[in-house]
Amino acid sequence: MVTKQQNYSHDDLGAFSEALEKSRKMQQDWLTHGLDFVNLYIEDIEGDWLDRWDDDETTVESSVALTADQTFIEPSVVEFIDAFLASDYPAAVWARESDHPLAQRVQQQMETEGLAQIIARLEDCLSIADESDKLHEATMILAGGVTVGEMTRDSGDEEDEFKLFDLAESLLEKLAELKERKWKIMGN
Amino acid sequence: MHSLEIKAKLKSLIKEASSIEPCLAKRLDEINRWVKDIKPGSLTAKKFVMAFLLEVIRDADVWLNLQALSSPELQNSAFEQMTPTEQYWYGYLFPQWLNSSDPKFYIWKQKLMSSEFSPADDDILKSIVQTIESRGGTVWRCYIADLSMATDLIVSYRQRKPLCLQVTTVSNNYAQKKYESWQDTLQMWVIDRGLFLSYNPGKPDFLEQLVTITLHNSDFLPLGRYLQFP
Repeated sequence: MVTKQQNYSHDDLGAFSEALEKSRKMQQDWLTHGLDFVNLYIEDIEGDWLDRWDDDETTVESSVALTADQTFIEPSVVEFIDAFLASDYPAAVWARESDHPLAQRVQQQMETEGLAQIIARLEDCLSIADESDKLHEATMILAGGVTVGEMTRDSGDEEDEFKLFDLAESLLEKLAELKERKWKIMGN
Repeated sequence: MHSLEIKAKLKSLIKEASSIEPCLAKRLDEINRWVKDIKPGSLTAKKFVMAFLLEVIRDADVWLNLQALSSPELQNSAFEQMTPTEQYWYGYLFPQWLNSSDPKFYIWKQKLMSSEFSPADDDILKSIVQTIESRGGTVWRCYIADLSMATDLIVSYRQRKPLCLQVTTVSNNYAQKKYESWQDTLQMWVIDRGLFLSYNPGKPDFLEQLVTITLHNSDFLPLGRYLQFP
């Protein structure tokens, strides 16, 4: 497998044929060896690579690494959600201004992950069929993986918990609306 | 190769795809973030994640090289190099997957994290593939089709008409429910026909029978039919 940049513009079938041959070889290796075929391609499968996956400093070719800001979310979507978060909507005001630990977690997430990355992760949630699971996952994304009960158990303030759920629900609704609108524009 | 080179390759493909095929860039980006959140404990789960990554990188590479061909004539020549099952995968199902929201993608992660995933069918699928190929048929197998499209194998024979196949043992008490769910899934992906085969591994010649039924239906099963056998 190559790790150098490729030039994807071809006037002949050479690069395509090579890719197809590699594809067939991998298919054959999988059929022959089952899941153990990965040992033929990867020498440190038992290592801690999954734990280090989000650590860009450890990548072999960090020069090709993309930052979180390059997540593929259209600028208009980011602007729309940014405007909502800056609005007078009570849950948005809470997320910006409250000093409750949950709100601070949201502010911290916005700073460290960036809005585009958070939107991308919330968009992934839209495909979760179970509404309750969907909302739970969205609150986890906004609060940086901390479960709501975990945070509010000590503070005893359910009002903040409701604000976080409200924020998550509103963001999911807006992203679903934007997606729906885009499909209509595309004629689907 | 080291595992983290795979991440570099994935990111390099995201970059390439962003100008050629944005829907591929978006899907690869989703996968990168998806992997970031996985913390599997078992080696099998790690191998599965890596196998999936290797496969999706492989398919993205083929797909990008296909899209980059400078004329429709060259693209036609590229498709002529493929077997009918490869044509069905790279020309129809893989782009379908790229352009659609995959409702099962989230479930993959859940399954992995709770260690529910177990690739127990490898041996039987390997035997089926070998037998089909020995009779002159072609086969395609991939994780995306398996986990998202309820398809163990895509099979083609003399008529060069790819057929999606799902196999299960007769002892499976949930076979009927599984059949209904399978049909729904195929229709959701606009797969226009399919074969759901139950087999008894204790029966002599079950493999030969299974392959004969599959090859016959690949050639003759009409469109719109989702056949459960027996």
